[in-house]
Amino acid sequence: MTPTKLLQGFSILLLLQWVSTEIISFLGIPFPAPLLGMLILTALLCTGVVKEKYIEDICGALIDKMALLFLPAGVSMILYLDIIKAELLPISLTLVISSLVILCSTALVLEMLLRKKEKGGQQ
Amino acid sequence: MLPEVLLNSPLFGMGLTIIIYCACELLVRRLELNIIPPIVFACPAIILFLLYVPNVSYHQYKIGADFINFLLGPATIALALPLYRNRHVIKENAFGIIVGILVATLSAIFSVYLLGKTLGASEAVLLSMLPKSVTNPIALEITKSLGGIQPLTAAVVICTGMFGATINHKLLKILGIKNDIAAGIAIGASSHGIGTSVCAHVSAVQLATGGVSIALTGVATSICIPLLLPILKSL
Repeated sequence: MTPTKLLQGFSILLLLQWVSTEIISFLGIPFPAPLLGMLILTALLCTGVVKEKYIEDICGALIDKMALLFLPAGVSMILYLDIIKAELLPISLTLVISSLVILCSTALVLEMLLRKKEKGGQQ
Repeated sequence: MLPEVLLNSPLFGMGLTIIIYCACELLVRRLELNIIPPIVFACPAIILFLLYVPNVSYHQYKIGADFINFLLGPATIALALPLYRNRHVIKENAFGIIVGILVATLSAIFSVYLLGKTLGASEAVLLSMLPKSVTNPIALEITKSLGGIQPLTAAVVICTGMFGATINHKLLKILGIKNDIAAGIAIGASSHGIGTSVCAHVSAVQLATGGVSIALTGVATSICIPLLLPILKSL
């Protein structure tokens, strides 16, 4: 990992964020610009316009410490403590149970579906 | 207590975020609590700090914290790398992935609405919680279009992410899920970026499918909620 490569990779990411922010504001659709940037970068990597070696260092570093980057957003909860407190029980129970329902149903359906596909492929 | 010059400089928010996160990471490693991600300790620690240390305000924290928050943009774009490296896996399983996203989106909308209603949440709270498993920028747009309370959505989305980051992998293990695609899609769909960030330390395929899942569930949820809301309200 060289500092130059990190910086080059970071420039590419920032440029893409800039471009995708412009596209989103031009189209006027409610879609997060970084997610569009992710799709654009994937397309650029697939077509070979951007080479993997230029971005792998910075991508690795950012992804490895992504949880840290969510911390300020988490702390912003401090502004909404009153709203949460007002209906704490229904909010927290709904949050916990529904998270479990989504995770279990999705994972189990996919596990079954993909296992079936694997078997189908072998026959 | 703390000097005003420090509190009003970006050093305060940036320093507090990074120092507390690193401390929590060390703590988690020392105490071998690696079942719980450091952010679950770091987030309440900073909130308590801001609430109980005198003369410190959230707005002062935000000056520096915004720099770190900004990096979420490039980090999201960076998810293109695992996506690219695992493109063949994703292409081969495209049908399964789409089915998984639909199951996740529908179970999210129905479970939140029906549970919330049964447990006595008010209409405004119900609407604000509907997009709770979607990435925050999309969730906020959905709540706005439904006429819900946007700050509540932001808070619920973050709590969902932290809850998911803590339990996802344990639960998948109990369920006996061995397929990384199934795990990645389910994690991205139920606890968006915060949940998916844990996958970075587990498997590249999980991370890649998690990223895909965040984008697709976001889109699917914003289409499905307005369509399903009349049906839900009539139940």
